[in-house]
Amino acid sequence: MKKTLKTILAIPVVLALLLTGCSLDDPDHPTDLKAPTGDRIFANYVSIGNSLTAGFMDGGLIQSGQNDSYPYLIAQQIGFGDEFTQPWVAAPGIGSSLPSAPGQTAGVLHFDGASITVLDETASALVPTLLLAAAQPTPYHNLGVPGATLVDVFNTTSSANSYPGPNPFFDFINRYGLLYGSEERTATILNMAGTAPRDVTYETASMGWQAIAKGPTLLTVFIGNNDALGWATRGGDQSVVPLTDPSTFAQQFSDMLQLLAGGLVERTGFPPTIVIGNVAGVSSAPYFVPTATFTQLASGALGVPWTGGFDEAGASLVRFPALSTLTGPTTDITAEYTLTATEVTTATNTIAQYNGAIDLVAAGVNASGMAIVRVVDVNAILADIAAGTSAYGPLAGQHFMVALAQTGTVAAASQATLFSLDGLHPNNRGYAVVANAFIEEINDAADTDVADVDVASKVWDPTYSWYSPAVTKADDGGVAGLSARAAAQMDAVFR
Amino acid sequence: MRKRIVIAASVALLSLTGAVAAHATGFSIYEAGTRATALGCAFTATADDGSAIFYNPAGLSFLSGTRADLNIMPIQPNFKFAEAQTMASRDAATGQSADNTFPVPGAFVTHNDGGKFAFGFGVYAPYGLGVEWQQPDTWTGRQANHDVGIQTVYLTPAVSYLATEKLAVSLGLDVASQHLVLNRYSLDPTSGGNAVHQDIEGRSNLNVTPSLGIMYRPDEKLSFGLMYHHKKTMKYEDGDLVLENVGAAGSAAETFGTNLMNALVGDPDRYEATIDSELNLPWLLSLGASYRFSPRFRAEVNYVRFGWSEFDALDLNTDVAALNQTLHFGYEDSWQLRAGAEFAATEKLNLMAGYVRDTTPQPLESMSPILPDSDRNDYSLGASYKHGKWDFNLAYMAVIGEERTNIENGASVAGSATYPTGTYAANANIYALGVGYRF
Repeated sequence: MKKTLKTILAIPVVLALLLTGCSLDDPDHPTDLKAPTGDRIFANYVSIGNSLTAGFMDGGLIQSGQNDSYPYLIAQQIGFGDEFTQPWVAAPGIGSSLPSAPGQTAGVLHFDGASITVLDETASALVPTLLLAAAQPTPYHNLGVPGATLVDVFNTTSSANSYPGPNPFFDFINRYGLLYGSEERTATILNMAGTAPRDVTYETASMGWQAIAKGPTLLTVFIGNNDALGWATRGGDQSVVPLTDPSTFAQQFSDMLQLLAGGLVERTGFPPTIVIGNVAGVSSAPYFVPTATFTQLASGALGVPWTGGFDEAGASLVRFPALSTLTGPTTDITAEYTLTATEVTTATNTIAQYNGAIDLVAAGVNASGMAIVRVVDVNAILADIAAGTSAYGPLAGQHFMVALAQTGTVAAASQATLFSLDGLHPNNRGYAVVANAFIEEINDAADTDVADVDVASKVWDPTYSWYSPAVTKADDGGVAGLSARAAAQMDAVFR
Repeated sequence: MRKRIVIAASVALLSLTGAVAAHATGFSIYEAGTRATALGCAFTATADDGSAIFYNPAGLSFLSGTRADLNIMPIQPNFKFAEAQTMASRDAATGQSADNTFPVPGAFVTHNDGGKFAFGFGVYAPYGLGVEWQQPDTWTGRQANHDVGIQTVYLTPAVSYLATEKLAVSLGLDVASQHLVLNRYSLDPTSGGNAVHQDIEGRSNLNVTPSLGIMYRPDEKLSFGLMYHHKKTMKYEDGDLVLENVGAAGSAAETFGTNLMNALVGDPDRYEATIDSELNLPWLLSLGASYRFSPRFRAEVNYVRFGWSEFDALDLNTDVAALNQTLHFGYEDSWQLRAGAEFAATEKLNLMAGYVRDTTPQPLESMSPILPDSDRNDYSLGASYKHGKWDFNLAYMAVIGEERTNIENGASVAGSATYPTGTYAANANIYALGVGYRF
């Protein structure tokens, strides 16, 4: 009995002790999370840049062109295609608002069988109806904004503060500032490219910070072209669009790359892989044609030999839109349409300095361990294509109209050139070539085996034969070959 | 009339239980009675009190007379989280669940007049979840969850048929009601501030599915049991989704919240939507064997199988398509091994102990702040004391979860960008008190 009683009394004592319960130790922070390598860097891909990144083609943004933007092609190749978002634009696309057609926004260019004209236009008030992905509440993976310059990457939040002037593409692609507001912040930039550590400011709604916010493990950056091309497409007039000083460019590029790398390390905990495209030379794009070629084009368009001259002494390259200014065989080409050999040399040397700075900054950031950085030598690739010595054939770097004159058919010409009708942006095939150049560096950076895009499978239709109802605007003005409005559209590409 | 009483009892018990913490893997709560809990819930081949309604209603055929059992089992769950360390300059976050105690009920009435048929009725809560994180406004996993609760109450009438002196078979009807709560934040992607708070709450329709039991006692020492509860689909037809713009005044998060709310629902401050959903509960099978080694010592082993692969995803559908969301779980079927033993210290006093090996159905990808699950080892102790027509039971169970990290081969395998990467730890203390009365 006593034993039983003791047992009974012992139970509550044991249970009372148990009532204190088991405590739970704090788990250790795991340290086995490693920086993404190999295929793991394809978990999240974001691209920033300008029109080349946006998939700008034939003078505007349109879904048929965006489908082959080089970032979208890369996303497909790395298995991220289903998640990669872009600011899709419905036909007839978005080009520019032209003074000649107030209240209207031009779509892309097309070849109507005789001339390059504007495919169609949309009342500017209805442009939002063309934005197929506007409801997406988060930043796009493709943050390329046509016309963006280097300084825009971390400072511009809308058309109200874009450089060098209002750029409405920011408002629907880099739209975070308008939608959600922005906040200016400060970051310390380390010593890089000969600069001292210092504080720089950036906007949280900028293209760069939106890219960071998405936390990519792979980032492609293709920016800086407009710092030279804006000047060049204005005939080298520093008073209209200044050529960015190389030392300024170097500073801005260093700031940008450090902000991107540092921001992503903070955001994801690990160094990102960043693949950068450098700046192509102005003479690599068939928007700029040699004077002899222009003479041939003008004669072909007029049907009689063009005997006019160039107002600017020593003209070396002619901007393609000059074709629309011809009113007869003796019309002279004004200076705004030409670059002298000196100006071409200035551009070439400046771009060489830009690219030197890109290489230097990339190597510095790579060495710092803040990011794995590779540079795609787009300049060299396009120079090869322009010279007609690439694997893509002698006409790959020629304008469609030149290729058409040589091949005789639209089908042959459209498969011969890698450039779209605006002469500055690649066509579907050209963007595949750009994508492959990036993929090569991605494979090198991550030791992966991503397959190239099949360039031959890409088809560019400069006639936009699928667009219905077919619209021709050959009466836009100008000589056969390029309407005045189309020329203005090409001019409006760069601000 | 009977249905009204049943529903009223269900509501009363739901209000009693509050959110319930899962402490078997998945969000199962396998503890329906105090005596069973003391035995590690290795009870399928024994089922000799009212909780047989859950563990094996065929056990009703081997009870005698009319009896009532009332159990209350307060559960104290603990969860902790340590975020993965990445760059040295980055502070890795930690998290800890709030100190909560969830009383789980188990109430049963049984009757066996010695004929072929025996009857019983029980109210218990076999599935539940309660994970509330401290500092909800800053907790690193708040995009996935800062306070989630699932309560599932079963009301089971059962009848058992004594086919022979040694064999009984039974059939029950599991009438279930469920309550679901999920609270989380949407953050401003650029500033990281809380922008929109999302509060989901709903009560399911009643669901009825069968349960089965078989008990075979070839002799006085040996007993075999089988229990099966069918899978369920709990349907929600008029749940509530409340979105609130909670961004700090003047902050980027507030602007983000305003614009996001405007874009999604056209109201910058608050929006209420109706949610429809279906939550699948697993089927449950237990096989048990019990052996009485001596008049004073008995032991039992159960193999339990959960059909957790039924719990694949939870679609939350609203009247605004943009608000529809799917939570992916991808659970897999899981098993438990339960062992228990009891020793008759005296004629009136039984001492009991148990052990459970409990494997998680949760793939690493879906381990999250909603439920950081892991394999577990449970240890139980308890005692029962008979006094006249009364039975008094006490039990304690320590649920020891294994630490689990959602990193494989150096890479995070978190199945959502809102699931933080790191190590979760979990345990639970279960205290059980039961009273039985034989009429």
